[in-house]
Formats: sequence, C-alpha cells, structure tokens
Amino acid sequence: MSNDLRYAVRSLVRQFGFSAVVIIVLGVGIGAVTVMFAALWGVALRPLPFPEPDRLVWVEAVTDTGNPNSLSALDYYDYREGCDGFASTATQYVWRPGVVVSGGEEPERATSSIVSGSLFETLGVRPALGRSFRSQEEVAGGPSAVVISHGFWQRRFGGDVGALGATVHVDGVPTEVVGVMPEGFEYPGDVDLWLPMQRNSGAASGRGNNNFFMIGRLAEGVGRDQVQAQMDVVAARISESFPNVKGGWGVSVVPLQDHFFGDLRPLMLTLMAATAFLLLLTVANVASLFLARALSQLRELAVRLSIGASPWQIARHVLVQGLVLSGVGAVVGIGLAHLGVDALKVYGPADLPRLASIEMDGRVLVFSVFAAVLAGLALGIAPALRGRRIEPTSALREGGHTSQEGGWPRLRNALVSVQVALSFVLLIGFALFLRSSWQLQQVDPGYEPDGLLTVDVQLPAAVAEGTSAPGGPLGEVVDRIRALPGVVDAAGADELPSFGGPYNGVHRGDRTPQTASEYVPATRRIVTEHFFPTMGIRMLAGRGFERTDGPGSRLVTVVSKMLAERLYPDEDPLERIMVLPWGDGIPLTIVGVADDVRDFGPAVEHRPAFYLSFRQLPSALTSLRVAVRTATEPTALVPSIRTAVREVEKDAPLFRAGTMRGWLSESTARSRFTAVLLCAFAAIALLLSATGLYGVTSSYVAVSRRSIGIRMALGATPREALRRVFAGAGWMAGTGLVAGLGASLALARVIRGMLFGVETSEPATYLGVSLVLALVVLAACAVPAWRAATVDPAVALRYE
Amino acid sequence: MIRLRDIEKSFNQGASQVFVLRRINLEVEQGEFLSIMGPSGAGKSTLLHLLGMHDGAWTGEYEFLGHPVHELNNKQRQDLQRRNIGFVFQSYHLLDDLTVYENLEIPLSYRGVKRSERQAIVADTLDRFQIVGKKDLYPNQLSGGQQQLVGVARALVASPRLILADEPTGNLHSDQGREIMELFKQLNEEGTTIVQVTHSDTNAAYGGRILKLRDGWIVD
Repeated sequence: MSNDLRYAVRSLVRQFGFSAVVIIVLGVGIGAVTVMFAALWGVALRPLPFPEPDRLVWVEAVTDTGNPNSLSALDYYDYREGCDGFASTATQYVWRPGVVVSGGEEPERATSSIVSGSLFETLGVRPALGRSFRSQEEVAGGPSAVVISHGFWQRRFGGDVGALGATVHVDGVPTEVVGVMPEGFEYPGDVDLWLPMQRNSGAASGRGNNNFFMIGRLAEGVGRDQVQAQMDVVAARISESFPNVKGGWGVSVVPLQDHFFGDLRPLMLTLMAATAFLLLLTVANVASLFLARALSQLRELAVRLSIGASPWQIARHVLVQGLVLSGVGAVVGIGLAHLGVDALKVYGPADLPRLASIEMDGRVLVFSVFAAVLAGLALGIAPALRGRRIEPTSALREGGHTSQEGGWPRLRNALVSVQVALSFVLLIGFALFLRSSWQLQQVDPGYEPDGLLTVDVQLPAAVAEGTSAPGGPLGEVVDRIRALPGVVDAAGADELPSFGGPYNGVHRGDRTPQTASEYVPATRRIVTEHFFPTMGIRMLAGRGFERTDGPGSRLVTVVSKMLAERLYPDEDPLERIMVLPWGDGIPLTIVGVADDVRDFGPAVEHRPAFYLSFRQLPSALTSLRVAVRTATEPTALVPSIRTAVREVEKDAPLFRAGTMRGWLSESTARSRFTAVLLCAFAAIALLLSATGLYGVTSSYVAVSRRSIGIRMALGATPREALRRVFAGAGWMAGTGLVAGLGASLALARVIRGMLFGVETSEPATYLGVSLVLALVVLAACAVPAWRAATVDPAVALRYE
Repeated sequence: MIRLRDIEKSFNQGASQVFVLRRINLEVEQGEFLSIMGPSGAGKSTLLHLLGMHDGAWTGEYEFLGHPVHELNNKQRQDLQRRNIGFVFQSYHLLDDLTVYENLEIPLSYRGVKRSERQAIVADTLDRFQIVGKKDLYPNQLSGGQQQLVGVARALVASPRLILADEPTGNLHSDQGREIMELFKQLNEEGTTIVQVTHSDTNAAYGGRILKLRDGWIVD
C-alpha cells in the first residue's frame, strides 16, 4: 500500500498538467460543497447553543384559519398550569423594543427583550454574574431590574464586575443591573438587555392581547407528542371559554430549533443540492479525464498483471491514484472553502440568521474529507474495474491496436451526458431564481420607494411620557425634519411599509361579532400627518390624517382598499365605523381609503391594513420611524436630520438611517443571493461540460484519424467528417439534455415554494436553457470538428 | 514441465469461426530452451501468452508442473503463474514511473515478499546483472539494451522456473541482441526453462529445440 501511495504520487507529479487540472477542478467542487455545508450546518442544522436543546419547544397558538399566532399572557398561564410535561416554561414579549440607555456620556440605543424570569432556567443557562429576576421584580411598581448581555457589559462597563448592582437609566427609569449573561448567549437573537415581564402590566392583561410567545423545556422522558396532547386539552378549554376572541383556536408545540431555522432549510437544502450537483459534475468531468488517462495506461496495467499483480492489486493501484488526487483536491478545496466562508459572511444576505457564526469547524472539515474520499473512489472506480478486465494478450501485443482505443468510448460518453444533464439542471435553477428575483424587483410595493430616506428616532420613555404636547417631542422632530432644506415632505410611523408589523382583528361598527372568524385581521400602522403623500401611497377616497386629528377630535382611521372591501363590500366606507377591539372596543370613523401596500415585503401579497393617527394615541410612542422624501441625494440629509433631532431632545439617538430602496433591496437579498450562487454554479457547470465534451470529441478525432483518413481516401467529404463529429457529440449532449429536462421538471416542483411569480414549467425557460446549452455544445465541438474535416488522408495514413 | 493436449483457440468473426491455434500438442521439459518460430499471424505470441496463462479462452488440456491448468479457475491460474513464470517483452515494458530498483522490486511486492527480503533479493539481482550503478535511473535514461537487461532481470527476480520471452531482441541492435541471448543461454544452463518467440534463426539457434507454427498449426 505504501508503495502504491509513493508510486501514485510520483506518477501524478510526473503528469503535472493532468494532475493540476484534476486537482483544481476537484478543489473547486469540494470547496463549493464545503462552503455550502458549512452554511447549511451553521445556519439551519447546528443545534441551539443550550444544554439538551432537543428538549426545548416553542408553543404558539393556531388561529381558526390555521395561521400561527402569539398568545395572551393569560393563555400562557393556562398552558403552564394545565400541562405537567414541562420541566420549565418561559414567556417573552413578541416585540423586542428598542430602549435608550442614558446617564453616560452618550445616550445609547439598546435592544431589549421582555421576558419572564424563568427564561434563563428554561434555556438551561445561568447568568455568568448575578441572578435572574425575582418575583417582586415581575410586578408593575416593583423594583426595576435588568439582566445585561456580555457584549453590553463589555461595552458599557468595560467588563467591570462592579456593574452588578449598578444603576442604569433604561428609557429614563433608574434600573438595577442584577445579572450579566455569559459570552455568546443570544436569545431571542442579538439582545442587549432582558427586562422582566410584569404580570399586571397592560400588555399582559386581556385574553385578546396576544403579545407573548411561550417556550418550554420538556421534562425528562416526556415526548413532544405527550405535551401536545395535554396542550390540546387546554386549548379546547380556552376556545370554549372565550369564543369571541379564541373560538376555534388551537395550539402547536414545535421544536425550538425548527421554529427558528426550519423555514431556512428548504433554501439551504436547495443550495446544498445545487452544490452537490456541482460536485457530481466535477467528479464526472474528472472521471472522464481519468478514464482517458486509464486508456493510455492500459499497457502499463497489462505489464503489471503480467509480472504478477492480482486484479485487486491493479484496482488498488488505480484507486490510490484517485484518492491521492482527491486528497490534494480536498486540501485545495478546504483552502478555497475558507475564502468562501469569509466571502459568504461579507456578501451573504444580511437577514440570514447565524450568518456571522458560520465557520470551518471540525464537523465541516470531516464533511470535506468525506466528500473527497467519495470523489476519489468515484474517480478511480471505473478505471479500476476496467483495469481488472484487461487482457494482457491484446494489450501487450507488439504494435497492435487495443480494442479500447477506437471509437466513442461508452463510459466517457455517458459521463459527458451526465455533465450536460447536471449543467441543464443548474441552469434551470439559475434561470428560475433569476426570474424570481427579477419579478420581485418589479413588484409595485404600493408606495414610491425612490427618493425616500428613513431614519429611526428613539426617545427615552420618561421624556416621551413627560410631555403633554400633541404628538410629543417625536411630533416636533418630524415637523423640524420636514422644514429642513432639501426635504420635500416627512412623516413618521411606528413601522414603515414592507417591514411587517402588528395586526388586530377589527369589525364594522354596526355588527358585533359572535365568533373569532368574524373579525377581519388587519395590519395596524400608527402614522403622522403627511404619511400618505410622503410615502407616495395613493389615496383612493377621502383624506389622510391632519394635525387636527388630535386628542380632542373624533377618533379616525384610514383603511386600505382591501380592508374597506372586506368590511363594507359594495358600500361607501367613508364616515362608517370600524371597531378596534381594545378594551371594550374603540369605534373609529373611516375618513379615508388608501391603496393597498405590500406591508410584509414584496414577496408577500397585500393584506388588509388600517392606519391610526399618531396624535390620537392614548399614550405617546417612544420611537418613530421617520420617512423623508427628499429633493436631493437622500443620505446627504442625515447630518442635518441628526442636528434637528438633537435640538428637540439631546438624549434621543438617531439610528438605522438608509434609503427605502436599499431596505427593499435587502428584503429580496436571499432571492438575489441564491440567483448569484446558482449563476456561479451554472457557469462552472457549463465550462466543465464544455471541456468534457471537448475532451471526448478531441480524443475521438485523434484516435479516429486513421479511419477518417481512410474514409476520405475513399471519397468522403470534409462535410461528412464534420457530420460524424457533430452527430456523436450531439447524441451525447442530447441524451444529457433529455435527462436534465426530466430531472429539472421534477426538481423545479421542489423549489416552487421558494420562487416568486414564476411558473416552474414555463416552456420559455427550458427552451432558453436548451438553446444556451446547444450553443455551448457547438462551441465545444467546433475545433475538433474542424480538425476532423481537415484530416489529410495521405498524412493520416502515413502517420499510422 | 509443460504438456499441451489438443489445444485450440478461436474467435467468432461474423457467422464463421476463425482458428488461431489448432490441435497443439506439445511437451516442454524442465531445463529446456525452446524457440517458437513462424510467420506473422501464425499464432506464436498467442501460444506464448497461453503458456503464460494470460489467456483463458481456449480448449484442450494444459498441464503445468503437474497442475491441470484447464481445470483451474482464474485465481488458481494466477497463483501458479506468479510462482513460476517470468515474462520478457520485445518492447521491454518497464514501468516508466519507477526506477530500475523499483521495477525489480515490484514483482516481489505483488507476491507479498517482505520488504527486508525484497531489498536483499533486488540487491542480489542488481549485482548479478551488473546494473547496481543504474538502480536509481528511470527507464527513459537507459539504452534499449540496458532496458531489456532490466526486463530480463525483472523476469528473473522472483526466481521463476519458466521464462517466456516474446521476441526479446526485436527492438535491439545486433550487439545488444547477442548479449541478451548469451544471458538467456547462461540462465538456461543454470537451470531456468526458457520458451522464446523469435523470427531470427540466429537467436533460435541458442535454444535446444525449435517449434514452427503456421496458421495455428505446428508444422515441424
């Protein structure tokens, strides 16, 4: 074996050109598949970084229409009490509100999560310093406490242990730091501060206030199914007891891992499959080269047989060569994968969770080695089997031609067909995602994103609450921004279109719903005056909000076209009442109908929506997303906007400045990223297929020189030689194309759910890809065909 | 050592059957030096490869050192061949990627000989053929005669009882050819049985017996 290894290395060094091509091709294939595995593992498959993560579950409500939904705090308490299958449970507020931490030199915006004190115990992670919340801290009016992240501790306190017990001003409220979480602890997501959920707060009251999520750690030995069964009983009880808000609702218990990363799996698996196709293609390509080399080695292998090698020793000799090449290919591949992972972190879609934590760890390296061994075996297996069947008598016959040399070798032809088929599949994948991405870019979001700047302004809560002016300081901030030179218009909202948002079930004023299904779920936006003209949302009837829509005037709303049609079909909705079921129900007069907007991004269809006047809110907002329509380059205005904000409130930080077009672009980044990756794969695939086809065709022409010469001597024309070359290549490519067409049609169904506005079986896509492949085939065969057509019979026959 | 009875080899060509060897009856004694001669296409090389057990597609009876080859399976034939037969080819067929030393070593490694033993045997053989100084050279660094010398040494390194040589001097000029034939003669005198295929009457004269083939038949 050591001799085989030594001789294989030497032989491959001596055939440097061949080895280099094989190693580079394999390196690219192994590198690509390694990067994608690293991404798949890091993003979607790697277990959550908590002890026994498979015992952690996510609990969510299922509405009567089958949609997942958050729970009310009261639901959470019922589920917690009604199920004994949990070792521990916890709840968290649906939103991660930004807060302002002040008191230092510079006010700082921090991300927070409002959670029950049992969260850390449920996840199985104790604070590195201090403790979690005490029960008295989970009551409104009790001591204010905060647990801080390791990153925040380092940033704000320089890692000083004295931070424990220190007071920070969270939204202006003096709050004691009671705990510091360990480094790397992230839940839910990248959070700076954990604040206690207060049982008696407004958000936690009412059966219809679905403001919370629930997680649980299953008790030892208890399965998810058992817990689901217990929870179903509780859900049925809740549904029966509160039919007007929870009628027909159920509950779903899913693994926590699946909740966070399950929806990424289809995308990641698609990319992984595409990469696996690329690796298969590179192996097929290299195997084709290897086979060609094995043909030239036939005599050598026959000599080895004749001097005593057993068929197994021959096979081993060839296999070791394949493994040595794939081993070096793996080293190159792993090097490329390192670069690829770094590039992925920089250029990958920013909304891909855990993107930053993708790394080349031991598991990824083991995967690379596994892929390399498989590739090596795949390379060597065909030549090895061929080597076992060598007949020394013919292979060693002096000056004779071996039967293996002439014509189109079948296995190599088959490998080229496989390459064409895989290229076709990758090209179809690329074409579909490209079209999907294009369609996404063409979607009318319902507003005019160009020339629109967005900035977020956060007020310390104490400042916001301490003012009696309508709209408070945030209203003044918007007014000042609107007055800046270069600003055409400006408005604020709790959330801007395309970014999602909360929703409420609403109903018309003249009917009282008897069941939950009679409420129309609609996205809720709280907006300032000038919102509709600033955003470029068309008003279809009535008016938008005005400064006079303040606290003293009647409560008004603007509804979207779709909501108007749902509430008042075939009727004029203006001046009709829509009821918002907050408390005993708030009647709102519809004063305007706005065009539909894609509130959840371009890929999500329109949903009903309604707008509330910012100035009519019972309590002031602490943050506002401000949209600024500009006459100049939008981002150039950021400094003057920052100054305007500081003039109103010096402790109000300005953050997340960007153009609306940029945000929209980010929201389609995954689709674009997939298209770009598949484009790269398809380009490599095409190049490999072309070289594979060129190699086989050239080889055919080279070994057939004599027969071509004889045919020409007998009267065949160059055209006949051309026809033979193109017919042979066309047969190989055609077989691959048909196989690729079948595979593509089957696989396209799998990715249908990830595409937007694209019909996966549209003939134009398949015809276009076929045309591209046909052109590549023609280009790959052109030179060998020309050589065949210009064979000089006299020279060819003399040469032989 | 060798006994062939009614050996025939043929292949199908369309509807007809073409015979390459016809009713070959032959005995070769231990220590004999047999030369097979005949025109091109007579079946000389086919017979040689048949004797060397490279070819299994024939009919008749073949006994080698008392073993009925016609009754053995492929593996048994291969074992018998590895233990007893060495080959010398017209085109030398040295392995280009291996040095002279390694070319001599590889038949031993195929036979499972331990490394230390291999080193001793190869050293003896290099010495015996006076090519110690060439042991680290590759075949393309040797002259044709030197390559064939290594080819003969490789055939002998595993101490076979029979050497089959297919026109061993066919690619050599006369002086080199003569040296190789003298070497064969010497080996034969030392007890190795040799069967060679040759077109040369001069080379055939080194042997004790000449077998003539024509159209697959033994004619003399």
